[in-house]
Amino acid sequence: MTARRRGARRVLQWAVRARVALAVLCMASILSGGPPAGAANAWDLVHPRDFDWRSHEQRLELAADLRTRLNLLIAVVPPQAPQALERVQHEQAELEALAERASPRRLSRLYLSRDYQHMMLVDLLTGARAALDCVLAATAVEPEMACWAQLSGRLLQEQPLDVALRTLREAHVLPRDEDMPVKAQDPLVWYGEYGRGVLEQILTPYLESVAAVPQEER
Amino acid sequence: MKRSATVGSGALGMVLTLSGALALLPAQGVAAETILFNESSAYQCYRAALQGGDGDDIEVCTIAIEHQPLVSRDLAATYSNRGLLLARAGEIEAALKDHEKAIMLQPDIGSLYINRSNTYVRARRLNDAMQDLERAIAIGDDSVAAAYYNRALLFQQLGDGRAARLDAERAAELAPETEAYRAFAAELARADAASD
Repeated sequence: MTARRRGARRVLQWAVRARVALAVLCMASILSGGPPAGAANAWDLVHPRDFDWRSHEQRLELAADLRTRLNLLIAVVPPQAPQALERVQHEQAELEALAERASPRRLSRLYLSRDYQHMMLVDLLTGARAALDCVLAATAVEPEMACWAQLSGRLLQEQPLDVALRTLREAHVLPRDEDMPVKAQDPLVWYGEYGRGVLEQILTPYLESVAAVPQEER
Repeated sequence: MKRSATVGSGALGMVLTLSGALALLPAQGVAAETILFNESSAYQCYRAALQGGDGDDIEVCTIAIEHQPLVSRDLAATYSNRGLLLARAGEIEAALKDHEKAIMLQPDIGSLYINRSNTYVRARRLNDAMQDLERAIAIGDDSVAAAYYNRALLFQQLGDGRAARLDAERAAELAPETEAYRAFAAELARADAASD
């Protein structure tokens, strides 16, 4: 091999290494959701860095980031045809009226239908967004914490989310994770983590702080 | 969390876990052959399925299937037990093949459908899982209580506490000796009362 070829080969190797390093950096950024330095974001619920639950500003930043992520997911869920929704709601109402006399077979057919799961997913996601809107609009800490509790309850519905996502993906109603915007990917992994994070990083310390204050001082 | 309880005795012993797996005891032999039988590969396969065995125990089932003279019912049970072990090891496709062979050999044994439904649940094929549990209930043999219990678990996953409670209560009625069914029914009744 000539010196020139060896030099060209070295340049090529450096270029390849640089591209690999860049890809790793990009991947790390994707995995961490690419947090802008300083601003609190959803990642703080999973791996808290300098997140201070006492800071109203940080809680709002975090809620705003969660809302952005949620909106990206909601945007890939196509709207449900009104007739389909009506059909599901009608069947649901009939079964509800039958109460304990409802046939298990009919119940399971409903629950495992694409239309029912579509309705469930929309309800779950829009409910979570409403809870975030409630957080963002709250003017005092007590009602804000009630909104965080609602949000946590929604995000922790991991089994219903799992069934809905799988049913809709199998029916090609929802794109695969890899075809969704990065911040909307893997909701099944992240939403439960966010829900637990809200409990551990916000609600629990808040309740502990409230419980620590003697009754007469509150 | 894992619940387990023996839900059958005699020839067709079964074990029930939270995920609904039933290990089937091949039902062959008479008293004189018991010692020989208990050392057999099919029996070891059954024990492995019963005791939460995994990929390492699959070989013993394969030996039983390939080398042990088994009557059709026992062969079906052994395929089904290997299916459970394969599913635990994450080999869902192979597990489903075994469950299908078992059902082809003995289409009238309810617990074979329960075992396949367990694998379907692992694969998150809930429609298929539900259909298998309905078949097991329709067959109505000595595994029917387990089928109700498993369907209760599935209804609970689907968010219908009332349907889950009704099935769990039916399981507890059919097999009152099984603590797991009673406890689950009571737990669901408490949740139902709290939500009213």
